[in-house]
Amino acid sequence: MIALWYGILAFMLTTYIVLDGRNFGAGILHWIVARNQPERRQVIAAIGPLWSWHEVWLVGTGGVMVMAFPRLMAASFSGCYLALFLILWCVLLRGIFIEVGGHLSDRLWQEFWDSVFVFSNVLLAVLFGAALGNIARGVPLTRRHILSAVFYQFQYPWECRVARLVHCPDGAVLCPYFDRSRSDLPDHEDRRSSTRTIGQTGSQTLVGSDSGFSVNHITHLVCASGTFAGDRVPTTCLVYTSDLRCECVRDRYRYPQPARTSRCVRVDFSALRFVDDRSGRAVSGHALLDYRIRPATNRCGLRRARCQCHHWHGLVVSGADFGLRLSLYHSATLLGQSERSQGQPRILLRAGGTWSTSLFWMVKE
Amino acid sequence: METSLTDPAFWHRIHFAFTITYHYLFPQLTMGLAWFLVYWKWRALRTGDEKYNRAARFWAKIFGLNFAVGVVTGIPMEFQFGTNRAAFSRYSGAIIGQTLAMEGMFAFFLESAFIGALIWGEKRLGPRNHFLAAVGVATGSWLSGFFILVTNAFMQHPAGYSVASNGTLALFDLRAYLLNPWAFVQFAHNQCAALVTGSFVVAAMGAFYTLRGTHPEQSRLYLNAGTLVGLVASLLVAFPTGDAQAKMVGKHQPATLAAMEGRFEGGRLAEVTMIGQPNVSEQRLENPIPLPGALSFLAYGTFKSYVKGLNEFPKDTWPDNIELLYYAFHIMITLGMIFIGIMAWANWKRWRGRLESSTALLWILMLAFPFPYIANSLGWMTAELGRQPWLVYGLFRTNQGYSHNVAAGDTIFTLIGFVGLYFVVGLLFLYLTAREIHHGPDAPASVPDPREVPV
Repeated sequence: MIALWYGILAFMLTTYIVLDGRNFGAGILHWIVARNQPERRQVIAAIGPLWSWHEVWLVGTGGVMVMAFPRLMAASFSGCYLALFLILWCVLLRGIFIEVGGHLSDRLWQEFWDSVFVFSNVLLAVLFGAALGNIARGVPLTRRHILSAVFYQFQYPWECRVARLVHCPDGAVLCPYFDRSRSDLPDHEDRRSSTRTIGQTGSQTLVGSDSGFSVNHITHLVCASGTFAGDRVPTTCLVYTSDLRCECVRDRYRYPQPARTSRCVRVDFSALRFVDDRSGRAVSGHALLDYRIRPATNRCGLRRARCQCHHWHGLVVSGADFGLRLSLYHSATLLGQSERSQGQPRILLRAGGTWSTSLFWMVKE
Repeated sequence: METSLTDPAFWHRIHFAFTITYHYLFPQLTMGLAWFLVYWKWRALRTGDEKYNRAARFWAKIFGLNFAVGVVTGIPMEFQFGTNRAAFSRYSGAIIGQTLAMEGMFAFFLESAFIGALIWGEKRLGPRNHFLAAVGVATGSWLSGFFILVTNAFMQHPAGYSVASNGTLALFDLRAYLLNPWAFVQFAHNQCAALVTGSFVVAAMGAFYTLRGTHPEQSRLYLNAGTLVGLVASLLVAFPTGDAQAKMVGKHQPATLAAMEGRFEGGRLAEVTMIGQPNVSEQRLENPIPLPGALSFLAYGTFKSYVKGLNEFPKDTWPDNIELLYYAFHIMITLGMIFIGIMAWANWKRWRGRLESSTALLWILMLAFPFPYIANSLGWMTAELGRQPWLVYGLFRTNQGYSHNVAAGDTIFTLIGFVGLYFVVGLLFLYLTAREIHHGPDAPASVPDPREVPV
């Protein structure tokens, strides 16, 4: 069921991006492909009547997200507060442009609104691209399961918990996980000693859907023998809803310990303290995670975090790339508009030129 | 309950209140106007008279402007559930998301798909299909309103839910949720109020052209339709829908009813205060002109019914701004009565055939159109302030529901941004509407100019 909703959400978001991409593309390109006012009007006329129908998909996506993944919505939207409102304002400005830009034939009026249109569309494409880039790369999670993506924070400490938008069989969508690429994390030791540690995941845990949470791929999970005395909880299965927590300090890492009621275990990762080797400062702020016991047969095949690559470069590339991809849709749209215009060949020529340039650029990337 | 300017909950509330109040100025007109368009398209289809088509064409332009502003101001609303109300979304998203998604997927789709056809498709579609497009737009906008009202009704009077193991709400019974009695009463009341707005605007336009002496044929059409629908809708808003709404509040939110009427002491033969100023710190009404027994009768059906006073409820369940709630409710009621009066007068004149020659009445009709907007907004303020301090009545408090991770400064910043943007949007909207009105309905049938941007 959750997988179905995930599919629906993905479909709606994709549809929105494909359809509204036309509008982005028209917005970004109409200064380039159309050289004078009548030509610009033609480009705008190609998107005018359908604009609100495209925007509907965005609204629908929001609705589906609240319904099917309320925690995801809560975590991501409030975490990306400022960036999201920038997006909303751009959408608003763009809507106003389409509404008012052509209402007066005054040259200054039209040039002003044209520039607003270009500005908001470029910003939108880059912001969506940045969002995409962030999600693809991973975004830090706070203790309350909120993405803490202040939108100019592009670099995280390597220990940071990050989240990714993924799909997994039982439907969780937000995937926070540790980057364990640094070999000095003592997971091997833990597995051997197995006395005091629990819930240190090998690489990934999942949170997100209301149907439950699953811990995925917990190969390094070790149960504290004291707490679990008498019960043999398979090390690969763990879930949790209860409320107890304790912690112990071991070496320079402090690990949380679970307490267990019936079949549930809660692990308070907030007690985790890592020391950044480079700065020597303690890094904290990990989320309180709830796990449900479930055989860890499903491997999502997630890639490990690459926290330190793709900073500015990645974001700019993905943003610009996004915008340019969208412009392709528009070029295709213009082809379908041939009945209306006088200057069609010229517009087409320029659209084709931009298309091939962007294609070349993307292939090069 | 004190609200302080340093309290983030306060800013989140102002943020939502401002954006939703502004947003709702536009849908209330489109929901009201949609059926006028349907009516004129239907008349045009039956009689083949071009004047109905002209009327529909003119109002479709006004409708389109309102619709577009409604869309652009409506998109932030939905996202604010995630940005400003994260805790609320996490708590009840599984339920309210049902209708929000339905609104987006069915109703809004329908509306948006047909609006293009309605405004630019007249030539291509032919009269019959163009009429159907108008029906589609009207159905879509009302369906959209219904889903939103079901969502609100759940917050006012939760139904069909269960509490999941992690403390959040889960959907237990979709039917009970969708068929929430509160939703139907509120929907009827709200849609009638939207029709009041629509008909007052249509009548005001007719009065304006009549007073100016332009577009005589069209203005007669607007005056006739506007005053007739206006009277019926004004009456329906008061009875039975407003009455049923009050009874619903009396039944499920007795504390709210007490606060709406400024009643601190409970008692039988409860009065409706026609005039009076609530003094919350002293817990009394000042200078009241009461109508004894009326509240008992209106809320519970007999004059002797016992109506609770606020003192019978713990203070932390009192609505947190009783004065505002009291005035919102009372001004709304007063305006509703005035609407009935104006429209009854106008219909009487119309029946006598003297509507177009009674200058004073035309002036009143022309200047009256902002007041339904005020009444609608105050009605919603009554509903939403009355629900306080609960976000989901009886289950979840408002000051739990905001995004605790968003700093108050961020909220203030985006609030300032919205105020600025919406001010500009408002100016543009007024300017463009005034332009359409200046061009008038008898302007040559607009052939879509390729240089003109549609919408």
